[in-house]
Amino acid sequence: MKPVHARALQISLIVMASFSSLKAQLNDCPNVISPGFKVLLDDIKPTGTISAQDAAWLREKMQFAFGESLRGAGLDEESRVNLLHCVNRIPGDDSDFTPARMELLDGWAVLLEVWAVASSALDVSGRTLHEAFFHYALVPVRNAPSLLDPPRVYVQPHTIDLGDPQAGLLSLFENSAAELQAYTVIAVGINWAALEDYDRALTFLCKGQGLLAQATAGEPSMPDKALLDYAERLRQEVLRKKAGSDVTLASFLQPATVAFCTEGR
Amino acid sequence: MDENGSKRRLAWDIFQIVVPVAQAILLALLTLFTSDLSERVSHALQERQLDLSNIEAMKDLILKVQSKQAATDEEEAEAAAVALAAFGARAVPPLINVIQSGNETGNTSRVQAAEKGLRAIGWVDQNQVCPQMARIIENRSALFSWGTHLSAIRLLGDLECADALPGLVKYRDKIASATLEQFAKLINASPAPSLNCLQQIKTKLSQTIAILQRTEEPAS
Repeated sequence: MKPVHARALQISLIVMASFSSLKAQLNDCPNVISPGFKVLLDDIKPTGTISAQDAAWLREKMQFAFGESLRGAGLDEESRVNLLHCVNRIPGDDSDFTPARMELLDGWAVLLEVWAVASSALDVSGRTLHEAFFHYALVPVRNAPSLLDPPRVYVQPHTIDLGDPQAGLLSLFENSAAELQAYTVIAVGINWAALEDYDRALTFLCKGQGLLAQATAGEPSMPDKALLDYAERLRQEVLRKKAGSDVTLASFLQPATVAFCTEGR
Repeated sequence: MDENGSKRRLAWDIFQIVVPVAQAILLALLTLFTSDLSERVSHALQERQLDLSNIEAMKDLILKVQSKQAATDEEEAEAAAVALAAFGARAVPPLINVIQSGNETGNTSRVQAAEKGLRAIGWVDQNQVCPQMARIIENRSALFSWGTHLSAIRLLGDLECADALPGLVKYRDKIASATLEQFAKLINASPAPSLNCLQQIKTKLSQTIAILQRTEEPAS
């Protein structure tokens, strides 16, 4: 590239500044560089009639539910996942997860980032219920090279009755915590596949598929189906790599020889 | 008048004509030299004054991009880093420092902002950024964190720094089968590198080498 006139720099700086002004604010999570696999749990954004206190209460319950869920995920010592609460961090949307940011998060062994937006809605009887839209950013999935691959950021709606804390808590355990557990285990599998630890990759990709099938009660949403397909394709690729065969050739010539995913479920 | 006398007279006449012309030329040269010298001195003094005023202006922007607000406000960090980029080559070392400190504290906003600043400088004149980025990846005293290496590799590709290709290939070959312990010797221990970091560096090296090899191919 040849040097360009300084005027061009001025114009480009103005253009860049105008684009940057459109970006959402994204606070950083200070503990993100700590060692080991991590799930980042951001704050909940309250909207409408939801108060900041309600959002804080919900976040606290989520942290507890997610912590329990991760402890029960059946991960080995090397795959242990820490849940980090990132104070005052609420990503805007998918655009906050730029490739550069995802690469850093991936390098810091972040598997998943979860945040939620809480709002209120009326049920059929006219009673006010609170809804929380959970967003999951699967960090290792950004390495996925195909258009068939799942989106980086999922949104899953859940209804939580804040007027009945017990029911709300139960809902958290039954829905979002089960999803988080499944996504985390799949992300662990994807991560081990990238690090060429094939045995662990196979174990956790299988286990994660089973957990996600359970969490969605056999009726996965479109993004969940894309993730299940992706996990299965990756598992088959890992199997072929482990066998030392030509991945590309084997995928075309001998698809039927790939073992079914039964382990870890 | 004999023949010798007329020759002497002719030589004297020529001498009388040549000397004033030579004097004038010498005087002109001397004037030119002294004026050039004084211009150079004056230019150097002005540049020095400009440098000093730049340092003051840059100091404010550096403080801004390193501020607590910038750590939590991506927009603020980017605005300061891009403004810093307007200082050209002088802004390169502080922006590298911002990347390094952002990686040490897990601050992706600062890292991204500083990368944007460096990209803006390099887009105007890649020679102001490419050699500095190449020096980062060639450094073997573990001066820089893995994230700074990652930024440097990314910028070398983005700015099409063709001269850096041999260094990138050498780096790729060095870490191709490196253990985590071997990799850790090349980079700063803060933050401690993991296998994930090594994997990210390997992936980014492959991507950047592919970009630079493509740019070296003649257009068909």
